[in-house]
Amino acid sequence: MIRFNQVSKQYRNDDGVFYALHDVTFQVEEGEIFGIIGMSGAGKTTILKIITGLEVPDSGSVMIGKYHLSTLCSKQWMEYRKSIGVIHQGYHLLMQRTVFQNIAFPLEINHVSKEETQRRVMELLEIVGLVEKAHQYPATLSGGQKQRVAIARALATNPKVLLCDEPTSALDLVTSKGIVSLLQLIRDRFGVSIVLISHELGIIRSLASQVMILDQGKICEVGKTSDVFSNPISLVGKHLLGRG
Amino acid sequence: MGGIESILLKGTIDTLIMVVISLVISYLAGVPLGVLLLISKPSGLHSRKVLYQVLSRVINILRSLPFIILLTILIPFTRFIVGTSIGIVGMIVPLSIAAIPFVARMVEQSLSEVEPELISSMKVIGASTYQIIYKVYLPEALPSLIRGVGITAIALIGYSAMAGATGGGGLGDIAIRYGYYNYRMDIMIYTVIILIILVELIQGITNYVSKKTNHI
Repeated sequence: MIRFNQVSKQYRNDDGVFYALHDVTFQVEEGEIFGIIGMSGAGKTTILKIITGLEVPDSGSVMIGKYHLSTLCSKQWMEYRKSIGVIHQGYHLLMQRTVFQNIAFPLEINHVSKEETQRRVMELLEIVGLVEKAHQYPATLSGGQKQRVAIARALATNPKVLLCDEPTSALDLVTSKGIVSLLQLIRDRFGVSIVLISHELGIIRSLASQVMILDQGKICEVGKTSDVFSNPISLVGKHLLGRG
Repeated sequence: MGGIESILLKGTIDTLIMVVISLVISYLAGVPLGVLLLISKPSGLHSRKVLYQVLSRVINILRSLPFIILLTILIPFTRFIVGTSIGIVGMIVPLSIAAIPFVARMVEQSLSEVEPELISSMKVIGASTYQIIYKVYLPEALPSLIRGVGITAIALIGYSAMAGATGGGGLGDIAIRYGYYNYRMDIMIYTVIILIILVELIQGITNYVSKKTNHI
């Protein structure tokens, strides 16, 4: 579903050139939950920005589903963007729109009919368990509820890939668990691939079947979550997983 | 006493006409300019360095001119546009031109309060620049934009009162002609009281509407 092949991305700053990503190759299968961990500046966000099209890699190729990212024209980008959904630590909801209108936003900009939007949004509200909040504004919701709205919005266009950037880092433990089981349910029900970036190892451990450890733009190790967690090989892995 | 009342009533209406018309014109021009400033600036959605610099300089120059100077410079232009440079009609042109750069900056300021992360999220969802402006920036900043309308209207009342010095009509004109030149202290005080009430009303109404439209 997701194929990164020898992807590199450089940034320039006052100290010179550094690699945000260096020769990164990995793949995520359909319906798989793929965890990425690493310290800040390791390149996790760059991977996300490349998948969402906010950054373009300097070299290497990226395939997401049937889309070869470096060859897309702007019309194909519009199509492609419907096949990915993103949620963030900060929710990024429109505060002057109701929950319903927030979830309807991706449908609205894709000119989906009113009836179809109504049907789809109600369906999504049911999945995330917020039907009774449909006409409230985000400011009246708790953090966990806001993240549920963001998840519903990310799913509105039936994406094949769901990118989660620290989805539970602003939430308490109990609320986090609710989000984790929601993500599991979504994977099981829709077969979406989920890329999960988190510094919370518990979340990665309970959700991801594969995990990749990044450090300074390079892959330190990648493999089955249970293997990597029980027996990290790299120094960074040992350090991050507290087995050094 | 009846004479004073009708003079003050006409002055108030004239002031309101000047302010409302200039307010509408300055927003019609100022909102697109503010949006242009926002998206063309270095961190904007479509950064255009030269355009931003030129626009920004022109706005700064217009904003740094004292209104009374602007009014004088604009006399030929005002005559050309509306056929006269005096009275309330003659005042609408300079008032609008003074307010446009003011509005542009205020709109830019209000819109830049919308979080940049939210904007890039909306880009990723697939919203075009046009959709981001109409469906994200403007609605999200609406309460702040409405407060801006209040500030602009009050600034325009101040400018329009100044116009009294050049025979512009309205309450400022009355205060100068009756109050100052004819030593009518009572009329002077009445006009000031009316101006204070107008300012309070505008502030109160725009604050109320801003609060009502804000869901945060």
